[in-house]
Amino acid sequence: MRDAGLLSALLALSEVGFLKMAHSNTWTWNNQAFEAESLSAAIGALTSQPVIQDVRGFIQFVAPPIAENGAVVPVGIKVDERLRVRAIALLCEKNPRPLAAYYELSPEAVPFIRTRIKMRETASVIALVKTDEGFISADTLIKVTRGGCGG
Amino acid sequence: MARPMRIVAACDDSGLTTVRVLIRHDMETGFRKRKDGTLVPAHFIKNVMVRHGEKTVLSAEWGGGVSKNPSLFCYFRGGVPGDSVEVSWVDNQGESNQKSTLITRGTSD
Repeated sequence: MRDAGLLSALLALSEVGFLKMAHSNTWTWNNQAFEAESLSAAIGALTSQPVIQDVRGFIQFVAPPIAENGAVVPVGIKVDERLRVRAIALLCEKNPRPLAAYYELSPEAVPFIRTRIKMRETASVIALVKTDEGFISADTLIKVTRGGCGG
Repeated sequence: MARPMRIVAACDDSGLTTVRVLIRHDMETGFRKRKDGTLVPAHFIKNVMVRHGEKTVLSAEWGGGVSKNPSLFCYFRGGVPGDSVEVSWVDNQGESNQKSTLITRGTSD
């Protein structure tokens, strides 16, 4: 019995150590989601849970309605801070690989991400947000006058 | 040689720290063709991590859909001027870099 107690204590310790390491030293990359060739496949690789459309306006886009250069389209996604946001994915409907970026946020992080993405053509840009209450999603149309994936 | 990167971290009066990161990188998707029709091999940053002290604040996974010379913004609470912020990244060809800076007072936008 004593041994069993010791064993579980050791296991608990090593588990804590492992989790800490996994957070600080390893890189993860969702291969299946990034290599998906359609929006639905990419979202399916990000979650198997139902995704609720953000009808209450928790998600706000900070992006131009028209982008002159599809190679550099600034997109920001801001989520209502009342939600505990775990992750934000940024997808572009008509790109050969729709998933552009995926961000995991700590409790200290403000749920606002900004980056610049490539867009092949005029398309919907989608924010998929993982919260403690489930997944919500919103989209916005960005018109592209010159595509950003050409050769 | 490590690719240049620039980080600015500033904390405003409300206690909100803004981290702005710029990295010089081609971010090749692997789909772009040269004039002779051959494909330019994929070469893009896959992961970027922002740490405040020992804590990971933001962990990003990127695909080839992120623009050339990418930028990243991160906003967090709990930082004070003088704290260290470290940003590190790795690309699909195994190149990587990391850099740290101290949080200054003010806004970085």
